[in-house]
Amino acid sequence: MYGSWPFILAKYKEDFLLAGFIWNNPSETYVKLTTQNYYNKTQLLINETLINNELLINDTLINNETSINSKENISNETTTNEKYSTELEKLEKLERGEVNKYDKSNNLEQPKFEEKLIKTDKKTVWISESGIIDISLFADPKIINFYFKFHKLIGFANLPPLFSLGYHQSRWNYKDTQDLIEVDKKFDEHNIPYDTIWLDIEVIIYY
Amino acid sequence: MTWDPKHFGKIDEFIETLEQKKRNLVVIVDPHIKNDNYYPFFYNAMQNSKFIT
Repeated sequence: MYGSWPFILAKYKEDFLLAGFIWNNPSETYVKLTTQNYYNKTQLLINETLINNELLINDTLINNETSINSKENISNETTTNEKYSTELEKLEKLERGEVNKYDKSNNLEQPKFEEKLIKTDKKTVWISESGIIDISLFADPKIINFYFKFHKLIGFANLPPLFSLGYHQSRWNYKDTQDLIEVDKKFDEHNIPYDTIWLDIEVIIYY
Repeated sequence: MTWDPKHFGKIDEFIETLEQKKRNLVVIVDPHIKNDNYYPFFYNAMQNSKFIT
């Protein structure tokens, strides 16, 4: 929504690398994060090489052929594999020219990027209705250092003001100023501590 | 939105009393301009084309 500062963080291995960015655009922004489970053959090959070199981490590589899913994920595998094969089938059909990729009636999802691009399983799309692309990137192996860098840019969180932790008196509504004075007095009379009194909407005319 | 001076007049004096006791006052607001021709602020703004449409 307006005025928010969307931020995304990707975590690779524990204490291996954290990377993220903050999207500095105050206009209405749409963020899409998808998990896609299909790979073309080049990607599978690359993945295998990377696994051998221990450069990629388990949770970024979910596919049936390399079978690197942990045991907890096995229950999800059927659906993942099904999705994977249908997506791959569609892509192969497209490659062979059996379907027209501009014909939307065959319900074919069009490849989102150039086919030669590496397809990973996590994708994110960011769209803002106006403004420029102004992002700040962060990366660090340690989470504590990562967030220190992040907060050095956006500022550190304040502690709540002390009065905000005390008792707050509120009513919809007080009749008038005299009523307010009475309520305030009664708190003192009965030895009830309070830190804040709230006035509701009736103090405004034409609201 | 306009403060109600009839019922909530002399509010500054009340705030001073609160301040002496180190208490705070919070006022809830709905920060819009009411679409009501009987509301002088709205009526004048309409008459003088002050709204951006």
